[in-house]
Amino acid sequence: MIDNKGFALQFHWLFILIAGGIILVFFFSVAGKQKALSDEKLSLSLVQSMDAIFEMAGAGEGTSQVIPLPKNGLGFSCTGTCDCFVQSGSARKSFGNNIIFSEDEVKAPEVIVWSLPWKVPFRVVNLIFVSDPETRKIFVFDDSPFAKDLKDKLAEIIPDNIIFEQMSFAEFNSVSFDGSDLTKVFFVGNSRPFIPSAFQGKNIELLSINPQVLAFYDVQGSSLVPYDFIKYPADITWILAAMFSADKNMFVCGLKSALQRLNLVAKVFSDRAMFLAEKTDEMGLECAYPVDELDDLITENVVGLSDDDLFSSISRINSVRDSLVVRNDQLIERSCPELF
Amino acid sequence: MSGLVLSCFRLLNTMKKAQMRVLESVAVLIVFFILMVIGSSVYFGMQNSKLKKDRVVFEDSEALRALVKLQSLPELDCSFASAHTINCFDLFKLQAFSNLTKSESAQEFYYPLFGDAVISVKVVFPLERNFTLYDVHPVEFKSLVRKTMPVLVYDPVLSRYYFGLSELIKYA
Repeated sequence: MIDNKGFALQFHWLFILIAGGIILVFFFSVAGKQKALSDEKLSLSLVQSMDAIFEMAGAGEGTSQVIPLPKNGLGFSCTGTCDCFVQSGSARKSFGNNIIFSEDEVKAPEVIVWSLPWKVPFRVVNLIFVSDPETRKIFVFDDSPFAKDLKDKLAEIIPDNIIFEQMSFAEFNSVSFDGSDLTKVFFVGNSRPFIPSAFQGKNIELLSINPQVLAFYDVQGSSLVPYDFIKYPADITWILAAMFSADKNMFVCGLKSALQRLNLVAKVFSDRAMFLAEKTDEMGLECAYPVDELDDLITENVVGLSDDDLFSSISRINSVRDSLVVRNDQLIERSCPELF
Repeated sequence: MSGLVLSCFRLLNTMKKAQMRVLESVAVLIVFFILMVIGSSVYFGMQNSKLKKDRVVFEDSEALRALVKLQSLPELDCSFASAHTINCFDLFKLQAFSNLTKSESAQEFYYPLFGDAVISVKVVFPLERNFTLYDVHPVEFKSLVRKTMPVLVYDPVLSRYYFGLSELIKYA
């Protein structure tokens, strides 16, 4: 039997346990609410700053800016269905209308954001290239005319603040490892890629660029295994896009986004050409606007395009681009309003 | 009422010492919790109002950014022979773009850029014309931000510039 004193003592401890539990639950709920609030605030400010950076880079043509990054760094990824995201910690934001090519993870305190316009021949969109300055980037050129031509074009187009090392195959064979977390190597030409002994077992990404095919390589021990190929038009814009992409998927998604954007821009230019044709006709001017050629820039069902279809679409667009340049020059010669 | 108070006093008088202590502890706890609840509700209220203010600033800057971004769209800008005229829209591109964005697929494409908003460009001098460039407005909204910006509108046929106003109404 428990006497009154014993009962009071047990009640006392029970009371302390319940009251303590309630106080703990209360503080946990306060802390949880505070965390939710600060998370919302953080994601709001992150989204705001990321949007501003990429949208302004997208709006400015050919600009290259150094941007400070949040402590967590930034992650870039695209799913198989081309839902592309930029991520910092738990905060995630879709690329939206921006077309971004980047490494999958950038951890440096600052990053270089470079925008390059894609023109057909009028500007369609500014492609955004994100470069981690702490990643070592090496071009390895062979002696082919393609490699020589690309070397000159790259030197002309890549901004000074994105550092690339350039070397021959022989020089690359004896190159030393500098301790970089990641080394990206771009083999340009028809020669077979390889890994020098200094880089074996290190984190290295390889892309082989020849006149017809881009090949993404996986490094397994000391051997190279090509895991993805894509035929591409030997166009400097898309070579750069592949070089800055984390993988083939990001490259293909960017290419498809650019084609979707082109569909809209081409529709506007085509309608504008029709309006101009009507107006100039009313004024008695003989101006022939290439409405059909502008319509040829439009690609149906971009989302479902296979790799080969993508290649043929870009090739078709490139040939229309060349013809539009000629047609625009003819319009200028006849004192007609320009197409672009 | 006085009857109830009297009966409470009678109950207290009849209680034992231990019962009184327990009642005291419970009363202290109740007061403690009431103070905590009041304190935290004031704190979270302040945090919420700060967050709301931040959101207003965010929406305001978003609206302004969308308006600036609008001017750099190749679908609308005045650029000839690679030369881009700042703060300028092409008259015929305005017409073509307003036709284009009537389609659902085009609205879907531009939604990540402009969100729930109505964007228009009004040519005010020397001729008067209005182009609704984008119109996606929600049925219900909490607030709206309106931004206007003076722009030039270029007529490529007559090689003439007109004065206009671009307006964005952003819903949240």
